[in-house]
Amino acid sequence: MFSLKEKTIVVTGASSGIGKCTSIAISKAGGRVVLIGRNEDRLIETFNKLEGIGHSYYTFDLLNFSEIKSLVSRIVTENGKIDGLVNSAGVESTVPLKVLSYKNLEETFKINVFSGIELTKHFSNKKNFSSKGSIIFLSSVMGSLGEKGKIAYCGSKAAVKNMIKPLALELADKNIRVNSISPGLVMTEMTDKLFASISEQSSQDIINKHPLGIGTPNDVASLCIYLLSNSSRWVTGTDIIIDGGYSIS
Amino acid sequence: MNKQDFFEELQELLELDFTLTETTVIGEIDSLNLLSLITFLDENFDIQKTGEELKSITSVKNIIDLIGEDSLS
Ligand SMILES: NC(=O)c1ccc[n+]([C@@H]2O[C@H](COP(=O)([O-])OP(=O)(O)OC[C@H]3O[C@@H](n4cnc5c(N)ncnc54)[C@H](OP(=O)(O)O)[C@@H]3O)[C@@H](O)[C@H]2O)c1
Repeated sequence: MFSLKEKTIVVTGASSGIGKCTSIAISKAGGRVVLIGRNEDRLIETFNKLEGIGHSYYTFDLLNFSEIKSLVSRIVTENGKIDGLVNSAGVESTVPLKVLSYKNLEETFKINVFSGIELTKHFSNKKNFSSKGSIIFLSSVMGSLGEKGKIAYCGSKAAVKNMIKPLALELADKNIRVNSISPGLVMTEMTDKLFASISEQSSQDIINKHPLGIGTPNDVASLCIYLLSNSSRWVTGTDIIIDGGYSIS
Repeated sequence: MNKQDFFEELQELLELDFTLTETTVIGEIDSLNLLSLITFLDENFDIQKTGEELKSITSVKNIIDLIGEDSLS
């Protein structure tokens, strides 16, 4: 197991799925975790599962774009400089073109893309970030592939996996690494929502496309721990696919 | 939404080339149109349904029963 001792890591989307599991894994690796999500009850649920001490949580709606800067200041004032950021907050969108509204596109991009950029912008400021560190964005295999009804989602995830490249270049001077992870289907609430919108047969077809079966949040959390640790010190500006073979089949 | 607007919006949504009435039989709705119908019901009537739940819809009447006559003033 890679060590995250002495590191403070901020995790968005910490109230559910991959973000929740990653938060718990960070605490097990010795890190201090700052949890962000909207739902306080579910944040507390994650908080109570953390090992060690010094963790904290913040309820925040990432659609409140203009308040992200002050959230970052508050977090750093109360927890000290941070060493890592995992942008796991995200929304799924299965809306075919003919009913796709600007509102839907805007909301999907605001959460999946813009909020992560804004958090990165403020956290990466010298006064907020330790001398070296790691930032992770959650993209998706859908950032390279397509499914009917996934215009907003695929578009947003494609944006994520490419924007990390200029971010990595800009932040390399500060020794901050930026990478993205592209998971295949992972069993979380997001997947439950996706399966609810399509037929049982379509759900089964998607599952069958994963040669190693579908993933668990833990599979992705393990990769996050590696990317947050010093062991990945030479890895930046890259997108790592973790999908049980989905995209090669 | 009144009934006439509902018929017109549904016709456009499902890209049907015949006018809809209360007794129109649409037939089986394909998977992409089912996804569109999910969004249509959610945005216009605040009704959240899954693809599986809508799979059995084959007529305008089925959809009106879901929405409730009262919602179509
Ligand atoms: N599950 C998969 O199969 C899969 C595959 C590929 C990529 N991904 C990506 O991995 C990431 C995590 O997915 P997941 O499956 O863990 O999703 P999830 O279980 O649905 O969790 C989503 C998280 O995002 C948070 N969130 C959503 N809207 C927010 C907002 N406006 N403000 C603050 N937080 C918000 C939610 O917090 P609250 O509910 O507390 O607001 C929740 O903690 C996403 O970016 C997703 O696109 C997932």
